[in-house]
Amino acid sequence: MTAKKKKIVLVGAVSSSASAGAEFDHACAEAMKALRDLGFDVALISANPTAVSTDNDAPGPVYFEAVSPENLAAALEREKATALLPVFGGGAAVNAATAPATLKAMKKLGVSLMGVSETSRAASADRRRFLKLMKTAGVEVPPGAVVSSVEEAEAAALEIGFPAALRPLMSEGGAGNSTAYNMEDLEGQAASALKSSAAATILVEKLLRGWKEIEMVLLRDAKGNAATVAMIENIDPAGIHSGDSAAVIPAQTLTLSATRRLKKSAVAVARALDAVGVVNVRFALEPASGDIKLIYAVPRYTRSSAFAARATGYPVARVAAKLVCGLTLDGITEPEFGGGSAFREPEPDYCATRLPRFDFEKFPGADDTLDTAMKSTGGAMGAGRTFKESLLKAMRALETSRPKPPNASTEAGMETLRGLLSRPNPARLFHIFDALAAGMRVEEIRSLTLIDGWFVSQFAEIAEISARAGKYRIETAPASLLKQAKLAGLGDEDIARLLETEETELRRLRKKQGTTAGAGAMDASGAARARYAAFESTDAAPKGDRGKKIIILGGGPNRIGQGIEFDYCCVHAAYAIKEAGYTAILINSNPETVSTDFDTSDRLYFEPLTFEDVMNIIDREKPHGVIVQLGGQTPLNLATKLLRAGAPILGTSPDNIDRAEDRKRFKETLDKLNLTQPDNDTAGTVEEAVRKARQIGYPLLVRPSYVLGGRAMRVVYEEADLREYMAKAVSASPDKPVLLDRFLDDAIEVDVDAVADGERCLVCGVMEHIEQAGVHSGDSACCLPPYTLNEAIVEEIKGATRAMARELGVVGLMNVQFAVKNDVIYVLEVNPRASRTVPFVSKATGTPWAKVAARVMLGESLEKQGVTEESAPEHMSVKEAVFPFSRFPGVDATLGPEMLSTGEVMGIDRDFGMAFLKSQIAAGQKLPDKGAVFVSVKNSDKRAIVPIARKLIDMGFEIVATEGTASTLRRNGIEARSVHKLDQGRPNILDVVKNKEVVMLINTPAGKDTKVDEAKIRSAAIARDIPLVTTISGAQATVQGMEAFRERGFTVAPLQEYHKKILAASKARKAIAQKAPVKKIAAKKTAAKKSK
Amino acid sequence: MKGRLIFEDGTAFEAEAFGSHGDRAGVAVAFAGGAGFQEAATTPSYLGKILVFERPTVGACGADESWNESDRVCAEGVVCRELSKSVSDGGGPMPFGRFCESRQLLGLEGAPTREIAAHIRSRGEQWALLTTEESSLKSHLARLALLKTQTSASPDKYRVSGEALLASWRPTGGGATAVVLDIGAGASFYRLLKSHNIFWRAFGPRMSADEIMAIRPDAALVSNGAYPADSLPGTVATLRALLGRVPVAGIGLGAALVASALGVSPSEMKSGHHGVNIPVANAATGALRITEQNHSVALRAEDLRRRGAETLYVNTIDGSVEGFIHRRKMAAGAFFELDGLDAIQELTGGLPL
Repeated sequence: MTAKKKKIVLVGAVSSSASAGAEFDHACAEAMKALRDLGFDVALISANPTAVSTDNDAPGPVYFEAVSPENLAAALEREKATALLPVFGGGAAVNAATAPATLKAMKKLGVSLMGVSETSRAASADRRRFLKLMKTAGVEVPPGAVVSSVEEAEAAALEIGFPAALRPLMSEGGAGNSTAYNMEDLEGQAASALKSSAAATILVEKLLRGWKEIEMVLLRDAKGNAATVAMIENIDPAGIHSGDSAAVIPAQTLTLSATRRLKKSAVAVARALDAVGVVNVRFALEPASGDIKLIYAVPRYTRSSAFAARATGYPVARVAAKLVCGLTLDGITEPEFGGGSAFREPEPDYCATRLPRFDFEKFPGADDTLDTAMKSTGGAMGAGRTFKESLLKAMRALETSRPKPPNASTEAGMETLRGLLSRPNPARLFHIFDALAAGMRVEEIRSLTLIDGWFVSQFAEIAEISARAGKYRIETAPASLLKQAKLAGLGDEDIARLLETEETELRRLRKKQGTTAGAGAMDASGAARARYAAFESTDAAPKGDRGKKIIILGGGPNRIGQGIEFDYCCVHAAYAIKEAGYTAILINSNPETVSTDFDTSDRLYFEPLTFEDVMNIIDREKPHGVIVQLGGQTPLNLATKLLRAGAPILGTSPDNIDRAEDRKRFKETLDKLNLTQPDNDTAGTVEEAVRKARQIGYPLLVRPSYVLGGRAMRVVYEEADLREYMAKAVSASPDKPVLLDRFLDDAIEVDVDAVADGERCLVCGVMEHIEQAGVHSGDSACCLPPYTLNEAIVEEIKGATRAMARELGVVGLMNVQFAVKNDVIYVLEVNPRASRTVPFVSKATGTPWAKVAARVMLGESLEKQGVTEESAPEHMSVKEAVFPFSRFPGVDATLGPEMLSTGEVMGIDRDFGMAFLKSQIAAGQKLPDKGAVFVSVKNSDKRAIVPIARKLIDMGFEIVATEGTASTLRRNGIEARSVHKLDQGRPNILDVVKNKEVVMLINTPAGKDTKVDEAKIRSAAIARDIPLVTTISGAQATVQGMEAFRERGFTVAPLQEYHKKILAASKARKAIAQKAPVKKIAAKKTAAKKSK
Repeated sequence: MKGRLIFEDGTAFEAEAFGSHGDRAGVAVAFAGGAGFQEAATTPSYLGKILVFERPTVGACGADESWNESDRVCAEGVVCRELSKSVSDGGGPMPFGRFCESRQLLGLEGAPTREIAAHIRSRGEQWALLTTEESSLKSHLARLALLKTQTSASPDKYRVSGEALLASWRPTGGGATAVVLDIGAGASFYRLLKSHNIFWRAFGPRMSADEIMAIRPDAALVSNGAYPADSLPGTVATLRALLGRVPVAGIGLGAALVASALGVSPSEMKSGHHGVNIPVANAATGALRITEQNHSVALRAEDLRRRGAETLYVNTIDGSVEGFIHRRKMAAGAFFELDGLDAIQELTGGLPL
């Protein structure tokens, strides 16, 4: 290391669709800590507000900017950095850091690239070079060819044969990966793969069908020493993206000889790439011959690295960061090792299974076949002594309901089942149990799924125990059988179902019989940091805890609607608990989080967030309190049941939670407070719904009462729609009614986060949505502070929030959604828990609200904490959602009441326009500066589109519009070229989009008649990376942002600088007067004027 | 059938027996590794040991006679949490359980192996009885004491080699010649020599230095083995006589004998290194390697230094001595299995291989 102090800028995750990596958040957080420990100055660039790594008290400046060459250069220059480190932010981060523009800027600034060797950079850009390196290293690759046109791809596929795997070189998270089974597949796929590749080159490779897949996670130092942290064995055969594969650590089925060869080859690959730090090397292994072939090698942190770190307890990111700085493996010590150096290969005496979590039901029409492109949103890890135990725990931890099995008593049903086994799909593992129950033999399942017979046999052994248990009833079931079932990992709920009894009954019985869960330490790397419950292990309960023990329930696997924003809250609670001198115990099942960092809490349990698994830990730890309101809906749903079982729930009482969630009780509460709610009712039958809908009036927001996260929510505009919805979309019944709400067309939606201690309530932040009401709050862009609402309305909203907090006795966090229409405030929803906006609000305002809330729950009032002021930032922060549409070709990219986004980005600047623009760029929109903009809006938006179009013309854009919109514009003196709709002959708008003759689309959905056409246009735009705006307010904001950019260009500044200003302002206010009215939102007025 | 593992200190664990019945006595050691269960059980250096597998599931890849390290089962017994009933694709032709039956290897499954391994680590390695007999703890312990005495009285039972498993082979010319003092080498030791075209002549522990020198070897290699530490004074004397005349390198127990010949007395670790993932660092070059080990020998760096030898390898977890070299006397020892030519060369220094 040089004597001169280095300043390293880390490149964080690019929040991109389904591969939006929570794993990169914890990697960056750990890496920053490690570099800081080594004495370096660090800074981070990432636009992800939900992340812990981008937190207010990060160990260095945080730039909320899109990860682009321009912004990287700007941040490097502003920080006077000496090095850029991209390997903890995912493939896109590495691509941005190694883009020619970035490298050029770095050369000019004298900044070096860290973590990416010259060899591996050259090899990733040039496949031929890569192949040569591998050949020299003695590592075989599958037959294949590198091509840069569709024709070449066809020729290559003909030569190597089908099925062929297509892999764009230099792409992110398997984007553009696909499998072609015939020539027709290949043509389309090759074209889209070429587009996904930053190098416009794709690899056409023989798909190794039926081969096993093994992924090795290695650490290698600058002296060439290497250690294998984990061998991950995929349960699914080759051909499925590793992020989407069910996988287990340690590898279960390998012979000694295969193990040795794989380790040797992986080291050879890492050496050939001259990789230093963490390297993921994935091999395919043909069982019969024992042949191994290299599938890919990635010299950076990945989702698999995270799984390896969590399963083995090895701090992979921290050690990798130190290796990148030149330390050697034997020169690094970490607390996780419990003595000795980082040079070690963990050999777990337990098993950890990771299952991917999918959200296909959110995307009707999307093909749920799994292949080499990643489609999962996250994953859950189950730990146990044996594979069976870890598998069943991982299945529980997924928190998905088991799919309905086909009726296996008919031949047609069996055929369906066979299809579900042979076609890789999210429910396949569950269907293996269905097949076994239907009497299918292990051998047949093996040949249908191509899953190793050993794994199938493990399923069969579980099924066999279940079948045996099913012969008994609770009164007759032998204790030994129950014990055996528990050892195999079966849940109380499963066993209870087999014995036809209640879960609590079964639980009582087995506890009486002495079958209780012990805990094992996940100490394969040395020290016992994380633990898992197991029905065999008898590790003694840890001693030496400080103060009271507080359990925090985490959020489980990342999914749409519940992502790392809740993990952020749990992490802060753990910090607060530790700071208060208590012992923080975390329960979570998500390996891709900071909460499962081993030093976040005092003790960590990798357990499913189910009643049974949580109670097992509560029984063992006997905590003083349990926090359920920070991990999202999952732990909140357990609250009442846990309370009934005697768990001490901290914070807002479960009864008050119920008052907010139960519609009838909530209505009573609002009536009492004189607050307004949109008219609403419930209906159990179609006729009842129609009758009640007439009373409420259309449009209506309809949804089933028993699902969460906006599932199956629709806006219906007329009776026919409602009838159709009732008949098709849901199976309503009197005990599971459908909820009907008056939908407030064109209202402005507002999100409020607040914290209360039972006495006092502080509003953390008021966020004005940019999309109008009706778009799920998680999918809306929003601005803090509000940018159009007037101060009186904002004050009224705050008052209503405080009143509700008081009435509901909120202790901790609360989120309220309001709609404002014609200056009337409507309460849409109250959630007495942490919301997904808490990290955004914390960062926008500079106050760690989750921490404040945790301390409140521990009994420390806001006053005692010294938190008495609502924050009043003068800058504007805009949160934008990130969508996975590009992962699901053909899916309609329209926003509605059902949440579809998988991630968030944040833009921050002095005025709204610029903050919004930054958020859009961070979300991946490449806003144009010239060209033609396509405009097609529904009738009600026609008036509003006029000033927008005018501004576009003023900026030098050309307008292309469908006839209706075009004539409106022309009547208002705006020139617009008209283009055919899809049914008006050709060339039509779809041709125009496909030919990329337009640079941006403003298209507000008109209703169901044109729905199909518009969906086609929108997905065509997304497939071609053409910016797409689907709401009128979004269009206003976009144009405002483009204007701002034209006026003043682009500057970057770290978050902490904005916070300093808030702090200074707050101090000044305090100095002037104690009770003077606070002057808020200075910046918003100009913004509001502009948008009018 | 129920079976029990009863330690000398009276601690007993009950589980299901498989493979055989009756009783066996041996030193129980905890084996860390995810594969190679059959290989370990047939490795001569595991003679007289009861293998407690830390990996919960044993035998997923089945068993294959060609994987044996010697022509017999060497371990006295095996203990695991779960014996795999099925065999993975690409695994051996029979389940591991059937292999145990065919070789009369007594095993326990369903045992709380994590707890047993913790017991071994905290109390140290000790003798244990593996039994399917129904009897009182007291009589089991008496039986254990008897078997232990009988074993100690017959050191010749440790004379097993994997050499017999190799088909006859001649070097293709130009290779070096090594004398092997085989006190329990596994087949893979010889396979390694063969793969590097090193010709060998193997002898038992009772070979004299003159007889060895008569062959004019390029080096003398002492294999790993299972003999009790001080039961081979003759071999130590032979090695002492070879020092300085020919490069001498020992592995595992062999390294302990070479150390003794240098005048450094080895002691026993509380619990030894048995497994496939033991990390060592070359103290001279800084090079790191993950090694397979089976030994419980402890050497003190200080003692080595006093005798003019230097510590060549150090364990990067517990800091113990894993290898040494006496450059002037051309003698070296390593406590891990050699896995390649570079390892042999590093160890034997000037050996012209």
